[in-house]
Amino acid sequence: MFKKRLAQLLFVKQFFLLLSLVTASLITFAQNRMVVSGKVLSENNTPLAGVSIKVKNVSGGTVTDDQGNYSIQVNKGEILIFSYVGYNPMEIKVNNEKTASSVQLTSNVSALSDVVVVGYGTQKRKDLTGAVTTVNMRKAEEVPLVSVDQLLTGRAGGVQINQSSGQAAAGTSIRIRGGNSLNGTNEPLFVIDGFPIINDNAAYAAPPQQGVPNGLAGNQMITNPNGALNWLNPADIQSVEILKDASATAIYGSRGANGVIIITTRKGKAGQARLNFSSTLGVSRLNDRNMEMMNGDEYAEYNNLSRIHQGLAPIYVDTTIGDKFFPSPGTIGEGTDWVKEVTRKGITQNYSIGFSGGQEVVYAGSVSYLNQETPFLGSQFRRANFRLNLQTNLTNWLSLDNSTSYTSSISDNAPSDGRDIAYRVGIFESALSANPVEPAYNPDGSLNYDGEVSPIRPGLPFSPISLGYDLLNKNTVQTFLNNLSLKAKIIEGLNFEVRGSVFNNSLLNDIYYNSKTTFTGYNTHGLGSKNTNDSRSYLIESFATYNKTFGQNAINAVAGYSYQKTDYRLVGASASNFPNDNLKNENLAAGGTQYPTMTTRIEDLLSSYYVRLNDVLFDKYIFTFTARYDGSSKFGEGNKWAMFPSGAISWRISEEDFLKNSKTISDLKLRVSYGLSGNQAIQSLQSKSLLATVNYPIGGVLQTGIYPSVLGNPSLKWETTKQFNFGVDFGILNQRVTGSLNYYVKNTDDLLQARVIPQNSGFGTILDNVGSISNKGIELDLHANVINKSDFRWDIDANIARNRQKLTDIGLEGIDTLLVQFQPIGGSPANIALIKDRPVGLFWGYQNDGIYNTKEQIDGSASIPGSQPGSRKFKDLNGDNVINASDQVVIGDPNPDFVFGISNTFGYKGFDLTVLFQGVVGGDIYNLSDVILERLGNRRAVTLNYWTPSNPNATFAAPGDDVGRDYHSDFSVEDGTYVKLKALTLGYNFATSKLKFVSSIRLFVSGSNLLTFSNYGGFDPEINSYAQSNLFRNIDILTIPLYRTYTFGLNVGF
Amino acid sequence: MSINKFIKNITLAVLAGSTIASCNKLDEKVFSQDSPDNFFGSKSDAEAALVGMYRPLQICCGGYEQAGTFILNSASDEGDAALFWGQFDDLTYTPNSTGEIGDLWRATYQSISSANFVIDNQEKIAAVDADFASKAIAEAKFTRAMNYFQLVQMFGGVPLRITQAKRADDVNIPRNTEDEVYNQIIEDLKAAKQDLPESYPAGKPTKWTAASWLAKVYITRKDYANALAEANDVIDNGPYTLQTTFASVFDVNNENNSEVIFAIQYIRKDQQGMRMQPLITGPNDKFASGATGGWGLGYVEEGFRNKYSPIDDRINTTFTSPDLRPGETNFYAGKWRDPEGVTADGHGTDFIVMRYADIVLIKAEAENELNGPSTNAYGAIDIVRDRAKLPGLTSGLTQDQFRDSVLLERHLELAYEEIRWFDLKRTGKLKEALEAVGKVWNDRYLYFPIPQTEVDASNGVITQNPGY
Repeated sequence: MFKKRLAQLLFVKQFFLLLSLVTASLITFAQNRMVVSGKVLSENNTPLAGVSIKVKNVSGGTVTDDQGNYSIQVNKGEILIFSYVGYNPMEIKVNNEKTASSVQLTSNVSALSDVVVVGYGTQKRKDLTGAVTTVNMRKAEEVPLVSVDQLLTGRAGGVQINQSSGQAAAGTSIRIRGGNSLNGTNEPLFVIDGFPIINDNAAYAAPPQQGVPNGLAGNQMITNPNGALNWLNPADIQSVEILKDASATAIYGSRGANGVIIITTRKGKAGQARLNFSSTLGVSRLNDRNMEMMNGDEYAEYNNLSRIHQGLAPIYVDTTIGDKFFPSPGTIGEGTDWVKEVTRKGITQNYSIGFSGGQEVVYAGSVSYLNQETPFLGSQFRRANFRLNLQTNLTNWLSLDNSTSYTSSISDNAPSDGRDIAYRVGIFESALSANPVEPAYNPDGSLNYDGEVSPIRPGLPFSPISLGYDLLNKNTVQTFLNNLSLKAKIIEGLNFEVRGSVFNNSLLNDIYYNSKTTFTGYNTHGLGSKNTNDSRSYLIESFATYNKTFGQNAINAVAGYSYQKTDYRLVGASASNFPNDNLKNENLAAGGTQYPTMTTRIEDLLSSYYVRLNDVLFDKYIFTFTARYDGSSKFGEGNKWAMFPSGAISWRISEEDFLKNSKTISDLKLRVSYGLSGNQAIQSLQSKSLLATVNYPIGGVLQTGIYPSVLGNPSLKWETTKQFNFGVDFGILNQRVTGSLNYYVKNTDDLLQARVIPQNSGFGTILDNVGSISNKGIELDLHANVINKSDFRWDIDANIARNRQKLTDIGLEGIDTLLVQFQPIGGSPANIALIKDRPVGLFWGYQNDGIYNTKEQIDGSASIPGSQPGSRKFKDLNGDNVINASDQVVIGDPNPDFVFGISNTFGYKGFDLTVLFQGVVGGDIYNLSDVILERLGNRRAVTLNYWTPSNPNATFAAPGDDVGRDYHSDFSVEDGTYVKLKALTLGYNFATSKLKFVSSIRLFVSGSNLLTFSNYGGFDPEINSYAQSNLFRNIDILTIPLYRTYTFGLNVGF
Repeated sequence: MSINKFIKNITLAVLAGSTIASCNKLDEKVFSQDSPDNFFGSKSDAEAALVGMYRPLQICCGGYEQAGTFILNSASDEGDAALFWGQFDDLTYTPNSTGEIGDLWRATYQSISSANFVIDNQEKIAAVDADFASKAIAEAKFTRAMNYFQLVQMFGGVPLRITQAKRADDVNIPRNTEDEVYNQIIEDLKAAKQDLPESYPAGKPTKWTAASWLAKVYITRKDYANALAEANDVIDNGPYTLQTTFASVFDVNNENNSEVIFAIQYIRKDQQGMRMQPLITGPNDKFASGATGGWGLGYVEEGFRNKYSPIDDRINTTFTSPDLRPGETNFYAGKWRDPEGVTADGHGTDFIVMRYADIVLIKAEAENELNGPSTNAYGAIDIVRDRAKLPGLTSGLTQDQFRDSVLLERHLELAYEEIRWFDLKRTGKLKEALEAVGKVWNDRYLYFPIPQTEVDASNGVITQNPGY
């Protein structure tokens, strides 16, 4: 009975449905039906594919094809809505077929409806509660770049990026909102298509080799290893989001404390196949020098005076010693410009083909090749990339998404700097210090390495040029990443996704020192090594997402589980004493001296549960709660698991009645968040007690011995960062001006530090959780569309940030000042200081007090023993009449007051121009150039203002006076303020509407590191010799500097 | 349920299952390093752990390497040093100038830690081979005692560890008294003497090594009866004899000879060579014979050369050259020469920590203290003098004169063997000897300073020696 009734009802319902449909179509036919077609272009006149076109208040619609073309059936008088991610939507009322034949959309980075990629999902920008900056990829991609991390420079507030050197493939150091950690990494987590990678250069460096004596271990030379993201082709990137506050990063739990950078690669769109070809040609050269060295005449004169001062006979007096002639000053002239001899015009070529399309299976991919020469001899980076992203629906409820990328790269490099290893120098510092009296080449064209080129190693073979050509230092890297994901739609709004990823990074490092032309090679009769570092990481992840709107309550939830295992395998072998240099390091067995082979294997496990709930009420009040429960193998029993929760509230004031109709304020949102995130990036095996092997001869035969080498700390746990963030997002004048202002306070506790313990325990240190750091800061990101005419557009993107760091607790009882030593070169270590309630990395030393003029001045004050007129004078700060360690104070602070970036973009008809300025205000640089050069040989030309009785107001000590040269002082500290014209790009987009097979043509010319405004006396104020180190920042030890590149490029789309 | 729905459910179940299958065990696996907990499962494990005790004493720069060389030779009336090491000759070293002092402290305690690692695992080793275990424990106890003996003489009462530090809360312990340290040393040496074999491969201690150390410890404690008994036991029952010539004792091609009681082993291979003794050994051009030497960064205390009789055969070995080389103002030490010179692998010469002549002279000294300048006492000292091609000691000396003669004989016989400073200290002659070479005395020189880093790391639990 009931069933019958139901059937009747259903029949009635279906009948009415059919009836209404027929009626509707009849009515439609009665109106002015027409087909409107046209092309949608960006403000640069490039066709936009995938633009959604809908008729207002009517369901259904279409999208543009790859040429930007569309056609849609519409009735006269109806309104077409064009919308596209990242662009302002446009509404056009239809009058006739030609109404919308050419539509130009204007971009808007901060469009509220933009979808922002966040951890494990996406959200609309208006629904965000966290501090998330989206880097405008359309602007970034106009600048040709080698690596993704470089692209972020100056683009986002509170994100400071330092390239570690001008070496080929050099890495970067990224600080989001200051450093939290002393010994763990401070680098943000990168999440590439869902796969987390820590940008830790150390993981990509060749392993240090034990048992190989200092000064011989070839691989220790790699002070600036390859950048961790060099394998990623910037052209493949669709979007970059920077997650900064706890609300955004806590979903990454133990890896979120340093911020998270989410990179999403391009996915295909259904439609006609599209091909894009781009080719660039670049020329790189060293920037103009503001650091002139002494020329030949000056050097010979200075050398003579130095020798006389030291009681030795001058040699540059037209004498012949052995069979070598030493000309006198005045007869030499300029001599050799060694920097010029080791530099060149580096040529960079880059070819890339991108393709996308598909129907059932959509695809996007690229193949690219890069060959980048730096301006330094023998330094280049070659890279081949391949990427293929595929997506398809397996059934109507199950879809598959796979992305594969493979990169093979080779970087050759001359050594960057000497660092702390005896008798080794970088190509740049050895060129600066080389004897300008010596010719670079002999009359027969062969290299001059006969022993007078390096003043500190007279008689021993050496030439800066040989560091470029005769020193093999090559990294061959292969990187493979595959992400496979299956997404199932369970019910409307509820999706379940399973992902599996494999990441393999395998590095082979080749080193060989030629036995004739390099000093180290000469000493060891050829020194070669091969080192491999193979890391494999596996990720299994499954999570569910739920999106549902209940009346005025929109819920977005994620919950999941992830498990990641990383395996590192390192092998290193080296030998010296080779019969000849023919085979370099390819047959290590031929070496007469074999060093112990080193093998290491380490496994890290990370297991996690996470959840996020985002609830939007009345489109005004937004609540976010996230938590991640992480477990890591690196920590001690009982401390392996920790919870990282966060909560946030935001209020869209502009949706309130009193502002809703405001003409000026188009958007206003307040955000408050608080949460915990962690840092687990410490080396493995720190919680375990370990044994190490040694050798010792018993009965005349080497035996293997073993001894307790590491005292483990089973109570080791995470560094935890508690972060509070208050933010305002605003938009005025219909979103023509938008921006975000954030204030944050971060407190990091339980710093992982190697605590020095009494050595009577048999051990030197134990890793422990001691100490705290706090960072407070404010950052502002602004976007303004200044002019928006149909043929002229001007946009400004600007950001400025200020961070204040404080080491609130050093973690060592009773100690308020802790000095940490580093050794610029030779035997003169310098210190940085960790001081309670001060920022990290303060420079520590004496206060310079000029030069002594008279014997009376020396006798009348505390002086360094041996001082005479012309010697350096330092302040006796404690007045005890002795110059010693207790007269040392803080002499500089590397932490800047402000960091900013301003990007201007102009569009005029087919032309576009992007100008990026980036700068740092405040922050000192510890310029150790003079300290290093004084020991190595030739010196800066400014040194010619040296003391003589007739030049009592000199800046520099008398030639040859080395009293006090090991006393590091504020003489070496300089203001690090600078503004750089970081990038400038001028492009032209040809009109292609009349061309059949070509959809876009763009020609551009671009320059990077073009101008620097600074008072810095070193080579380049954007210096960071110690790369990612947390303690040693803004220190210049003559690391290979950044250089200028001009690039010409062509992009053609088919 | 439709077939589609069935497939969907199955798939979802499999997908979800893949999560659960993942493992939540987060044990950190250690692949390329052994863990102390999994050790001593075999005899070779224990053998390796024993070998590990010696390496810290051999490798640069603690132990008997650079540290011992520069501190002990320079701070006595035997040597002088160049560069930074001048501070040990000038006696201007401080707790902060920890270079060598800190290295010695660290290396010696590392060796102690390794010895304790063996002793702590006595049961595990015994489970593998009980007989071997007693020898292994004895060897570890000998090494521990030898190290504490070095420390207690240099620093006084030091923290006494007889088990290994295993946890973070074990790491900070206070200093013990000198008596406590000496009691442990004697107890360990007695146990070592009892259980060590009569002979062992070169580089390992034997029963007689332990007995020799006992003799040295007793004489340091002025327990002359026991010192004499141990010395006599070694002389009468031990395997040692004097080499016929003084030069052959230190000949790099005659290592571990009949006179060597214990030596730190160096071979010229894979960087196992002696690195730092060559620093004080005279360089090439300072050798009379043209033999290849070292760096010459230490040199002979002014006037020391003249303490030798012109006919003393030891001059040729003790110094690089019996007379000053043309244009030179210093003599250089020559005992640790290696004709192959300095290479990346270091010198091949072993460092002899104790040799038979030392024991013979201990006998002479103990005999004199107990019974005056007896025939036995004369007999002992004259064996050594005879080998030096010197006539017998003047007869008819008083006990005091004989005591001075033995001390001088030790000075001349054992120069640059890191012994003189200890001799001077234990006989109460340090002040006199230093003043004789023009140094101004301060009582703090009886002990070296505890490295300041150690005092700091202990947060004051370890106190500094007086006067520093």
